[in-house]
Amino acid sequence: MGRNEIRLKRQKISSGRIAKHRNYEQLMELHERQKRIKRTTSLLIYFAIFTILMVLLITIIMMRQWERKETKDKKAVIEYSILHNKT
Amino acid sequence: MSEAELQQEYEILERSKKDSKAFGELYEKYFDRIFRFVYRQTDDEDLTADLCSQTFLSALKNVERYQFRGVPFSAWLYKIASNEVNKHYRKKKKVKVFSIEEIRVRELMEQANEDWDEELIDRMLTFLKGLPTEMLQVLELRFFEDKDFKEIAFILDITESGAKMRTYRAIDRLRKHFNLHIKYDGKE
Repeated sequence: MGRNEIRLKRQKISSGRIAKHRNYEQLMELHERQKRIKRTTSLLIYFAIFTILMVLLITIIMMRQWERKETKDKKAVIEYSILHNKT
Repeated sequence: MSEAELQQEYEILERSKKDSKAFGELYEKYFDRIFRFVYRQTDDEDLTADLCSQTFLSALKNVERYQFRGVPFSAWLYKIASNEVNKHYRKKKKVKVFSIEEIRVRELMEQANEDWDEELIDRMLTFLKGLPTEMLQVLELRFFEDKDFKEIAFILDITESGAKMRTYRAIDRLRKHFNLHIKYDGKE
């Protein structure tokens, strides 16, 4: 109750004054600008996702390579020690 | 609104979905009405211009998703405008303003069969101040914007029976205070 403020206007706002604010060209410009911003933001987001995925992929590949190298080295050490133990 | 007018508007909307320049016709047609509707709830010309701009931008952005739901396209614009106004007040945490043109109060008073004087206007303003926002909204849409209950329900996102109930309650209070001879559907 009583949460609103009621004001009495002695005169109606004139059509001429409203017409000053009516500008479809300006609205279209704003719309186009918003569309451009939206498109750029989406592109940036896609690019960021792509970059993150690429970094992950490269990390995984490098990890696998490192693991392969590690197992190869371990194998070589074992083989070497077996050979030396026999002699 | 006649069937032919609705059809014509529908065609413009279909064109607007493909070419946003076509939306200009609807912008020119409804700008003044939406401006007055918002202005009545802000009493600030520049703020109204901003909110109107936001309303039409939002409409333009979402026109592709617009579907006919048995109410004129203008009801959709009123709904967006109403949401923009509410969003503004929520953000600013300010008391909502309802500015009423004297001529409108005069029209109501003439229906009340009472003599026109300043004291009566003051009584009316005090009465309106005591009404909850929901009732003011239906009264505004019903009597200042001449909307039917289906449109009011759509704009305020309530049921048609809910819109009728709110209007009935508001008018019942008006009747008690001002000896109004007015039916609850707004027609004498």
